[in-house]
Amino acid sequence: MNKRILVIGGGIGGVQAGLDLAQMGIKVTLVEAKPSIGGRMAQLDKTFPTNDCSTCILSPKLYELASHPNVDIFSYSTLDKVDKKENGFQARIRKKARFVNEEKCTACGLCSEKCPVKIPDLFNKEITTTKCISIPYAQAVPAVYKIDKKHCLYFSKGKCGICQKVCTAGAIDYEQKDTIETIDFDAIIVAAGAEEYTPRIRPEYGFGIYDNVVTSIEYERILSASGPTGGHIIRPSDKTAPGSIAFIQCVGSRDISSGNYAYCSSYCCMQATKDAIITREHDQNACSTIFYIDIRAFGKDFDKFVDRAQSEYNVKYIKSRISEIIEKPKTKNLAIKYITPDGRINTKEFELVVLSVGIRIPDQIKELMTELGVKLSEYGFCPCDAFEPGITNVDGIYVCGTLMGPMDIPETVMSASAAASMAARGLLSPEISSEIIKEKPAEIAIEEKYLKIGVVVCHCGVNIGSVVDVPEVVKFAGSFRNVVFADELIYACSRDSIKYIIDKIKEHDLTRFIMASCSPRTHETLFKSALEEAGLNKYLMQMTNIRDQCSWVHQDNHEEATEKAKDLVCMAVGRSRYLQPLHELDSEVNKACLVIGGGIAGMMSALFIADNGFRAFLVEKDTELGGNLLKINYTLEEKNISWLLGKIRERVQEHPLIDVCLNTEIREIKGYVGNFTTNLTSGKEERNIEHGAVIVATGGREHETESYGYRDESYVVTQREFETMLLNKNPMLKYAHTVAMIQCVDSRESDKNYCSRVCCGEMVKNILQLKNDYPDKDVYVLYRDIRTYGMLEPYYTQARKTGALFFRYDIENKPVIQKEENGEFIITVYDEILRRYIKLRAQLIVLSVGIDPLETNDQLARMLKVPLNEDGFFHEAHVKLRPVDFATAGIFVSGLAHGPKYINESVSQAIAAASRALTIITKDKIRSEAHTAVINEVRCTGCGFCVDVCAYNAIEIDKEKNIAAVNTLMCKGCGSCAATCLSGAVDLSGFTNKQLIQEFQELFL
Amino acid sequence: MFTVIKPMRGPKFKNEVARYPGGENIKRCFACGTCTLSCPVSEAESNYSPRRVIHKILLGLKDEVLSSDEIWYCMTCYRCQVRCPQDVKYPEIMRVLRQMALEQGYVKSEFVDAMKEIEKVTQDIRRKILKRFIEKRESITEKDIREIISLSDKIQP
Amino acid sequence: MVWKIQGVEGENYLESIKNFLNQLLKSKNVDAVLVPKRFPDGNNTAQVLITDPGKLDDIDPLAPVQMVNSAQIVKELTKDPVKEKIASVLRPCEVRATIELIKLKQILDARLYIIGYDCPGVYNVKDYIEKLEKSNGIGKEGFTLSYVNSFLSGKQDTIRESCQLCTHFTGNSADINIAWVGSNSSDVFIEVNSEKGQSLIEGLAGEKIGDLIERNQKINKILDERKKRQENEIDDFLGFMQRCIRCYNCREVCPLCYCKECLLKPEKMGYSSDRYLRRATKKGQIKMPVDTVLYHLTKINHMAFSCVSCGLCEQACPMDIPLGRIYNVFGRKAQALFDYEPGRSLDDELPVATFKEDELKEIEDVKE
Repeated sequence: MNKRILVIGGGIGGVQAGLDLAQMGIKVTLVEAKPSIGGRMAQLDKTFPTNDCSTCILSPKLYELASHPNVDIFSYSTLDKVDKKENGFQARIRKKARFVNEEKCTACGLCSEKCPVKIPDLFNKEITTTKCISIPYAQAVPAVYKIDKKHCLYFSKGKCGICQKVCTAGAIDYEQKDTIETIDFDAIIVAAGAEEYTPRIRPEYGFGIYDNVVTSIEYERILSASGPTGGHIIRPSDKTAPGSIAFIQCVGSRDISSGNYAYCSSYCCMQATKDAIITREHDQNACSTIFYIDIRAFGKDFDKFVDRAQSEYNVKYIKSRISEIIEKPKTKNLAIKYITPDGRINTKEFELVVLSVGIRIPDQIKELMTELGVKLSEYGFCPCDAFEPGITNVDGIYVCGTLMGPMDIPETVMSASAAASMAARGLLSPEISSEIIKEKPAEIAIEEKYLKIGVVVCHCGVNIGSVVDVPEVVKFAGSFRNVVFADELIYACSRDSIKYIIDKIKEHDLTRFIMASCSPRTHETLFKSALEEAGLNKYLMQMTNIRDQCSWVHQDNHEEATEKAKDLVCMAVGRSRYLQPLHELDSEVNKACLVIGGGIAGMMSALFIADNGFRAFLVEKDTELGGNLLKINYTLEEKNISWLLGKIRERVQEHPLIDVCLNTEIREIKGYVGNFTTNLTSGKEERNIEHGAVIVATGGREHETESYGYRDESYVVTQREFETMLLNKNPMLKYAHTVAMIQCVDSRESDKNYCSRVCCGEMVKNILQLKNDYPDKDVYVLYRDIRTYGMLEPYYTQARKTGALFFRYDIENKPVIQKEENGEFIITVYDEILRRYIKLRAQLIVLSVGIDPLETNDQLARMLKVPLNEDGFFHEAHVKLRPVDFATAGIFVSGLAHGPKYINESVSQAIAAASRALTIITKDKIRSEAHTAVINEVRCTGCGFCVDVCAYNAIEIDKEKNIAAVNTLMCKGCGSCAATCLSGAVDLSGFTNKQLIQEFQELFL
Repeated sequence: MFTVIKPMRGPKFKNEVARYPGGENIKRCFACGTCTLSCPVSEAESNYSPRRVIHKILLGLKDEVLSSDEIWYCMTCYRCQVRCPQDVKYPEIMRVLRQMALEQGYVKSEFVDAMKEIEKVTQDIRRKILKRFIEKRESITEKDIREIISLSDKIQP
Repeated sequence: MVWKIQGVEGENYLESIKNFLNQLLKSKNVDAVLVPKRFPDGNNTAQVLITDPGKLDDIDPLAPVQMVNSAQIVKELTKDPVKEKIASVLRPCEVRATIELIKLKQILDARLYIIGYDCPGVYNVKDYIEKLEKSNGIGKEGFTLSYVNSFLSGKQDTIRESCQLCTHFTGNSADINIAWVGSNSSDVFIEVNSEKGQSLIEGLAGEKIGDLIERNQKINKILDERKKRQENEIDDFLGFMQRCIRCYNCREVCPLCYCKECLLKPEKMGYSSDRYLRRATKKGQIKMPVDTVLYHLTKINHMAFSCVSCGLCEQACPMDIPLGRIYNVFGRKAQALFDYEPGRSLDDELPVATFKEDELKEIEDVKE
């Protein structure tokens, strides 16, 4: 099978789509226009609401993609032409000349150090300069340098050539030409992303004129430890730390006057909140103020994040869009006039202003899409149908990420995974396994052999060699007992060197190998493969990082750097004495997936598992499929939900690969990734099914409220009930001249401190329907923040245009409802603009009540041993990059079970969950980690600490023996158990106590 | 004090305004306050808020709006209009309201004529005051400033 | 909730306690009682497992001596599931150690009833024997009772240092506590602290009584004095450690050293002979045995959260290292970090096995 899919764009969307496809066994060609992949996320400092370092969570994905054998990355490349062919496409990919040989460049960085030409640093938004030969950032993948031809002295004046002279790897090639490859593809996923709005279009903000007005992306770079200011928050004008910072929201969003930006950019409110928090963490005296129109903290745990910003980080939120910024000529401070919460006008000076710029599709991507024949919306995005997220008007072309509309990282990751399983349809088969079996020489048994250690010390060009006395380290290494070979190499990672290492291992009959060089993060796999080639178990290698730890951090002290390098080598020798061959375990995979919940999420997950050729069990406790969707008639985008739902149900029920189990409850789930057994009961019948993965799509339910007289008054209804009233032309509507809607009922406060995300859209939807059917009726909306994010914003605008009136109320001062004798309601609410209380008369009151998690979540969570969050929704493995995974392998989540979301988002997540499950069940065998926890049965007391701290549920106490037992297939080798065990009864293979102690003993004894 | 918002009989005020050229976008307003912050009149008269005027129109407070002084304050500098993200044309709407006030008998046509004349004179006074200031800018003393400001005092009621 | 059980009162506290245990056994509310009892020669006491009420004579839980921390014995008695109900009469430090061991899953508590009692403290074993010998004439029981009287009159300076520092000398966390401090006569009261405790006195004739105000005052007075004695630093820690001969006595007697095979056993800590020489060569000299500081630091690291300050380690130390004081200081500091008090309640989770986002903030907040 030689199936190949083209992924356009190397941001997090493209990377996720590429990884999922590669793991399903499909070949992936990823084309990225920039010199390295990583996209926008690589530029961010941290991510909300967990404040994880963005690069730290992204980098492992980039390395994983780059090292996957199914993936070819074309960076600094463009598409010349894409032709539609029978059953696929043919693309001409232009790999632009970098003037650096990709095979030879070791990214030592010497060329850049010596290059005399400084050019604006685009990655750092031109806040600083970089060299004419450079990589965008330290963790860039691929780590290959590139010459900027336009500024290079060699190209412009014919002289210089310094980089070529200093490059000991011989990688500089001034003659390099663009190369063109023509490749056939079965499908295309476009993950080309978007760009930020240029605030120059709004001159009143002075961007580009005032030094201390920066965009949010520029500010991310200023915050970043690897950014242009080294992580020090300093303002551009005078390089001092700003004590007061203003964030101005909606710059280039919700703005039709400066361009076609009627939409909301979705993530800026949270980005500003995060940046304000991080600013405060850097400087305890810094005060941030966020000027906003509506705070759109609609995501999971976002409201809590905003609460924390206010209570713990002294961030002020002021609802006032800013009209202009005025620079004070002497101080370069910026004066901002705003409306205070009590309606007065105030002016305050800030030392730095951050513009939260919106998102838009750049022209070149619009051109690309036109070239591909993909239709774009009036705003330039590529919107999709709610039930077909990612599917375009062109067969075989799929989209994901911000190209579909403004969205945050997790939505991008979900849409990318979803695009993967949509594009993979027809390319997978249960008969063909997706795991990669590499032919390698038979392994030599070392048990009987004499301990012979080999040491190679790498110069890394001048990276290590110019600081550390490498020959001295080699001599020192050679002096140890059992070290029979020690040598130095200029570039240990070059092809010749790898061959040399293999030869020397064989020649000296080495049984352990030590590589003193750079970071294992980037190079361990390469050196391990050398050992495999030489017939040694790859875990008999010990790598020690004398570049980052010695030559980089002690570059001014050569002697001490050399001494430290010697110490590190000494420790590596000690440890290597006790290294043992390790092996991954294989376990058979059952190629079916259990989907729990027959709502739209569950059905879509099951469909995409089955459409890709794999069996799905769809378990629903009710008597029919459809879940919450049965009670929804139409959405803002789709007018006929029940018809569409009917079609999907029909497809699910008739699909030969879907086993629909209605009226069925799950009694027990046993097993682990690849091998689950589940006990299903339906009435008195009971059966066991076997499957390799689980998708939790149990849904949520409408909140039951007792507020605003809902229990007792028939003219107080929920939005969902109101929708049905509209559909049925309920006679109550005749009587109701005026409808008052109250948002955030019981939400975003004490017990239920989260936003249900969908209520604002539902409110807008119902207003539009009401005003369509009864144009004369009046509508009042009492809201706290209108959260019609992304492409929902234009609907909000429409709702206002119909004449609906909006009143903001404060949580401390909720509207009060009185019932008159004639049955009408009088609502008293404080009008912030009039600055007085007003009384509104209405005959019907509609409440936005929000979404509750199911009470049964707790029971299922315990059965699956997966966590719930504080609010009772299922808690994913990582809020940004693993939005459908659980930490426990083989179990996934989608839909309302994960948190409140719209139908299209549920569908996207459901298809993403199918995609993630397919990466497992497409394999015949699943391979465990080699580094796993091992229990010493003599020492183990069965105290259970290890069980408590294991994040992967890989340890259980064996009740018979009262000792811990590790499930090797589930163990990720994190070592938490080993660190916790007081009895020293847990060892992490490859990091055993013995090995670690020996490391120190070699040094100190 | 409470303002009771009553259902309107007949055509609604906001729709009435929207029917005039220049008034079309009034209902797009999301009360962000940019207009008020852009307004030079608001700077001199802190109780004057274009945002509030729009809000009153949307609420249907027709009598209050058309009989108020506020609709005559706008000096049509158009800063609010340029900066409004929703393209609500406040100066145009003020023009519409003045027209309505006249048509519907809230003011007499003589009043409107006088307003036009006053606007002209106001601009002239402003020009003169500034001229006086600019002429002396090289050697200006505190006394001069006081004198110039007293000029403006004279025109106060 | 405090109960007064009918028919318990005897001539003195010991007899009252005996009467109460007698009722427990006779009522079949428990099948066996573990309780300290004097040796036939009267010189010493040991924990005795009694099923026959007739064997309750000579029990002496108040004797001012503690040979072992009885939590170790409870652990031995409950390591396997049994169907008989066992009540163990324990000193408060033993109660707390028992609760820690239950959390550590070393004691199966399904059929175990923990009975605590007000503890007047103990002498060092050597002192106890010496004082007992000097006191001929007042009789074995008489010795205990005269000790109890001197405790009640506030004399404590000759008892073990750990006891002088002890601020948990009533069995609050036991299922029931036999309270006698603050009782005017020889009578004892039963403080019930759990449902299990309630079931223990099920069917016994008795009445609920209100708060014992005098008792609380007495206890608070003792607590205040003891808190004043507690120190916050160990002055010459390394100096004390130099005395250590690594005899492992402190480890053997520690109720909470529950490992089956100790990480710190001699063969694990020792080195090959050539290594000793290399190490000596490197430094010019090494003190033998090596790694005494490492040994104690590791032990402290393992025990600090659960240490109940029973002081048996100090009693067992042949080199007179003030281990009781050392553990008391380290333990209190470590426990305060996590607001953890060993043996307070079965519901408190052990700090090692739990993660709270806001814990150890002071470490996070350290700035460059």
